[in-house]
Order: sequence, then structure tokens, then C-alpha cells
Amino acid sequence: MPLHKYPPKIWDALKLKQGIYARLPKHYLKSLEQKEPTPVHWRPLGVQYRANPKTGQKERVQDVPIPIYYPPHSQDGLWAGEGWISGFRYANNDKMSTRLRKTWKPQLFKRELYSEILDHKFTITVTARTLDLIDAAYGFDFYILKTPKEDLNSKLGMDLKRAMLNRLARKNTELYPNDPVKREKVYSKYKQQFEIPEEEAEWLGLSLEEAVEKQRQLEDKEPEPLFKACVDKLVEELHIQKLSEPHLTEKK
Amino acid sequence: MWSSGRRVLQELLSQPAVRSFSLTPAQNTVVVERWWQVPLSKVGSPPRLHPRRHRIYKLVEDTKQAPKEKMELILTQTVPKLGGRGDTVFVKKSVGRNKLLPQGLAVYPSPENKQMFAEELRLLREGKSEERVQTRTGQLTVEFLKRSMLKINKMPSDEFQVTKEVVCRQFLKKLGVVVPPQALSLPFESVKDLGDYWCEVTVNGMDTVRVPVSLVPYEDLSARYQQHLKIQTQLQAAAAVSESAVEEEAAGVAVSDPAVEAEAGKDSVSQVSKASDLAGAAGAEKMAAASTQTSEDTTAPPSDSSKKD
Repeated sequence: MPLHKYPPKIWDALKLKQGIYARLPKHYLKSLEQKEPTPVHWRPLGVQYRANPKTGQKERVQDVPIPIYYPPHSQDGLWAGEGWISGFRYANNDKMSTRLRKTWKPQLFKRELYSEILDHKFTITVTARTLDLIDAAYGFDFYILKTPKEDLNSKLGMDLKRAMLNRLARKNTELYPNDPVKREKVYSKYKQQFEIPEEEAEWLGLSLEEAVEKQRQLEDKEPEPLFKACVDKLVEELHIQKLSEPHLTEKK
Repeated sequence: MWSSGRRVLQELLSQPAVRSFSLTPAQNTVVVERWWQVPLSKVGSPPRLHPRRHRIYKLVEDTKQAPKEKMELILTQTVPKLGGRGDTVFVKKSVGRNKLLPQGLAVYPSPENKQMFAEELRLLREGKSEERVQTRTGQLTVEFLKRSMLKINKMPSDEFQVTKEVVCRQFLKKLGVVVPPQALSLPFESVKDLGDYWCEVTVNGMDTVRVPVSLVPYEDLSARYQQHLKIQTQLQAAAAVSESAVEEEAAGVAVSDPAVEAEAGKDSVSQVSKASDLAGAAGAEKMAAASTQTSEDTTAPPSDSSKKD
């Protein structure tokens, strides 16, 4: 007789299909699926087949990603997909010599980055690659809004993205309330690519626990007092009783 | 039941076949590759990795140690040593990110920004009827021309005349300033006599500067004549020294006749000294002219001016 009804490997996926998890919005559940991040610490081959460099025959090849460790404090900064590579190396780069443990860590900087949409200077731990990517995207806000969740790889990044999209969606109330000229300028800069309906923007980048809490608060209703239900029931019974009594009219 | 479980497992855990290409190479990161090749796995199943053998990496590139590239920015204001508004400059990344961008002195060269500055440039060029603002380089050229003076050496030929083309060429040669003939206006057609005149130069079709022009006699700059002059000055200097020595002796010997002899001596000495001074001054002038010419040539190129009327 089998140990469990469903194999433990699929328990996580099954859990998301029942209870409050099933009532979460569909676009949010779709965003929870894991996708492969852009390779940062290794060079992908990119092709499925290539000619073997030695024999010249066509062969099938596959990209094997290097496992990277993202320490918890990487979620509080923008590391742009960099992380710790823990592994081994050969001494003197020679296969016949000793194998030594080696951890490659990225170099981190604390930089002040200004966001136009949020009108605030953030002090964030970044890497040099982050700054280069910001330059390539022509702006800090553009970088945050353009990179997908897997490439950003940071809770702070997703929170910033959510805040920016929310502010763009509610531009009349939140985006530069005192300066309409600046508001128009900033909005016209970002509106073409980054308009998302407010419902989707609110759920973007939330972790599973946060999303569950949000859903619970949406569905939360104060329990109705029993007194009301009883009173309604009594009133109905009295109605029925009154109607069932014969109608006496006084003859004058 | 097992088969249904496995199908569900495959559906739920199948990784999407997304091959992510890095469009930009990894920048400022450590790039490693494996020493040992991972054996090819079947399509649809992940490759099996040995816990130690497939974790041995070799450093391919640490972009931290690669030469630092410069970044391209478009300036919005005049920045010393870089340029004026609308210029595309290449600066070090540290300068751009810590100074220019946070203070708003420059913006990224995104397509929208480039379009905006191109429109500004177009307005500058084509909106002639409105009040066009003089460019920064134009202003610098105006300042330079106000301080400058043009000296033309008259050529020994008889048919030498000072016309517009001659003046333009002399501007280029002596001051290093490019003046197209339509930006130059002379009050005369052509002159042949020595003397001082003036001409008017229009910068960018907006500002006009009056530059004094003087026509001076011919100076032979060939090496042979220069050597000849040098020998002459030396002889005169020697003569002056000997004369002054003679005069001292005479003064020492005959102290009682100051009026005639000393005056005569002084006059001759002064004449000789004047001649030597003139020769010396001429030589010094040439040196000064040559030095100013070289210095002006080196300062002129940054201010390219009066390209159009």
C-alpha cells in the first residue's frame, strides 16, 4: 500500500489549489511560477546543436546553469542577479593539483539612487553590474520597471516596482500632488510601456504570505450578531401568525 | 494511481523550455565555467550533477579587472572642460554617476532625449527669423576676436593687394580662426599701402566683431636671412661694447670735458644702442609673434567658429 495518496513532491503545487490559495487572483498565481533568470555568472551556449570543435560532427548541447546562492540580505538590496558562487577550484589552474574550496562573492557598494516617480532618494546596496544596467536602461525607474522578477531577484526591487506602478495607476492623487507640470512630464515619460490596471499592480511582487494576508483582509467581514438574525426570524413568524388568523371586521 | 500521480507531477513541475540569452555580456561580475563536462541528459529531464566534480569551476573573466569603459551622456548645461548644452560627451562612469546625473547637468542618451536635443538644434539652425541664442562656442569666438589684432606682412611683389581672400587666409594662418569669405566684410575693395585698417567678422550670423588689421612691411623669415640678421646684431652688440669701453676710458682719462666728448660719445653710443635695440626688438618681436602664433594655434581649435553666415 502506498505511503501517501499523492507523492510529496507535488504537495506544494496541490496546496496552492485549495482553500484561500485558490481564491487568490489568477494573474498573481501565474506570476508565482518560477522562470529561469538571465545567466550572470556563466556564459550560455545559446544553441541546441553545434558542431563539435574536435570532430566537426553535429551534436546536441545543453546549458547547465551554475547554482548560485543568494544570501537573505541580497533581498534588501539590488544585486542584479549576482550572488555567491561556492565551489572548488584547482590550485594553479591545473587539473592535476589539489582541489581547494573557493567562494566568489560580488563587490557591494552603498549608493544613493533617486527615483523620479517616487520622488525619493534611496540608499541601496548595489553591485557594479546594477549601475551598468541602470545606465543601459536610461534611468533607475526604467531599470526597475523593465527587468522581470527573476532578473531583479530582490524583494526590495519588487516592492519598488509595485509602488511605482501603483503611483502611475493613481497618478491624479499620488504622483506629484502639488506640481501638475512635473506630473505630466514624468507620466508621459513612463506611460507608454508601463500602464498596468490597478488591480494587477497591487498584487505585483507580493510574497505568498503577504498575498494570503491581503486576500484574507479583503474577504474579512465582521460577524453578524445573532440578535439580528433572531429578531428578523421572530418578526417573520409574527407576520405569518397575523396573516393566518381569520380577518375580523367589526360591523357597525 | 501511480501513473496519474506521475502525470500530475510532470504537469506541475515541468520547467518551461525558456532559453534565456544574455543580450549584454555579464558586466563587472565573476564569470566561471566548469572544469568537467556535464554528461548530456535526455530531453525534458534535468542534467545529473556530481556533487564535487561538477562544482569545480575555473575563472573565465572578472570584469572588475577589465579596462573601465567611458559612458556617453548628453549635457543640459555648460560644464567646464566638457562642453555646452546639447553636446554628447564621453566621461568616466564615476564622474557621470556621482556628479553629472544627480545634479541634473546631463541626461542619458535615450532615443527620446536625443530627439529633443535634435529638435533644439534644428530650431537653432532653421529658426533664423526669430531671436536665436548665440551658442556657447560662438560666444567664446566673439570674446577671442575682440581681444585679437591681425597683422599682415606685405609681400615683396608689386601686385600684392589685400583682398577678402587674403584676409581670410591671414586669419587662418596667424590667428588660427576659420573665417569664410561671406562672414567677412571689408570697408575697402583692396589696398596696397602700409597702415592700419579694420574689418568686420560675423559670428554665426548674429554678432559682428570689428578686428583691427595692420599692413606691415615685409619680413623675410627664411633661415638664411635670419642668420644674416643674427650676425649683424652680434657685430653691432660687439661694436657697442667696444664703443662703451672706449667711452669709459675716454671719460676716465678726460673728465674735464663732459659737454662735447661725452655728448658725442653718448650720441654715438645711443645711436649704436638704438640700432642694436631696434635689431634686438625686431628679433624679439619675431620671437613673440612666433610664440603667440603657436599659442593661438593651440588655443584656437576648441573654438570652431563662424561656420556659417
